[in-house]
Amino acid sequence: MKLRLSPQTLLVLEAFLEESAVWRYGYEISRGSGLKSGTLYPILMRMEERQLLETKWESGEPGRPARHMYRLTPDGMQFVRESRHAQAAKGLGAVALGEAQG
Amino acid sequence: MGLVRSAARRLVAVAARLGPERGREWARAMLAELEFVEGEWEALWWALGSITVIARRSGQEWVRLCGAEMRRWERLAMDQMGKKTGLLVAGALGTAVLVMIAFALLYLTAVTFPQLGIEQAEWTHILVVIVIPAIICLCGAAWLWRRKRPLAVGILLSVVAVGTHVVLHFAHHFARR
Repeated sequence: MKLRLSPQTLLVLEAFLEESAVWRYGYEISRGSGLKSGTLYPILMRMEERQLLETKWESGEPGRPARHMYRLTPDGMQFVRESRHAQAAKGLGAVALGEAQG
Repeated sequence: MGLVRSAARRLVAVAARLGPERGREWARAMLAELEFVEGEWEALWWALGSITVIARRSGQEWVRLCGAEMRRWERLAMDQMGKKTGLLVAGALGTAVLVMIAFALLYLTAVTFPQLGIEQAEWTHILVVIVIPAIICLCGAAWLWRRKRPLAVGILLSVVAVGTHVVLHFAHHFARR
């Protein structure tokens, strides 16, 4: 089962797509997308459950806690591309409909 | 570390400890990330968001566990019901088989020893086919009542059915006279 594409989910996917091979931190994604932790983490959890996201722990500097990091899986990248195409098609359809009605 | 951040961290730590086993890693992730959030009040908002996520996850986990438990009970009840029905039917079938055996024995005796005149003696029929099997069944049902009650109930039900049949038979017989 794939992910429901809410506007918030699209923001997270966009954040990952900028550099899809790079591991990212939760706070970094939160700042990039403007989403609060209460919105961001459920999306990340669902992405991980659907195997669109891989996670790892990175041990930080001494005295600081290890950080949880995230990166898109190949399936995740494929999903982002497909959802982008779908969104673009929807956008074009809406424009065409607007022109036809106008 | 400021007071607000310290309180926020403590709140998330408690929520993570109380939260469900599934998703504890995510609670730890949010707690760890809190250390890197810039600004005291922003850290508090981060913590409140994290607590909401943990609470929602706990709720989902609770609903999932309750659902699983209810399905397990339902399956168990269905199994029990199936078993009871099977025993009830077995009891009824056992009585029917016993009556048929008695009837077959009586028939064989009548055919093998025609000089006994069993064919003409109606009370022999009733005794061998109805009364003796009914007594055996009643004794069996009494013995099984505490051990396998559905089986005993099945036997009793079929004895009642046979008894009703006999009563109706005699009622019809005497009404014709």
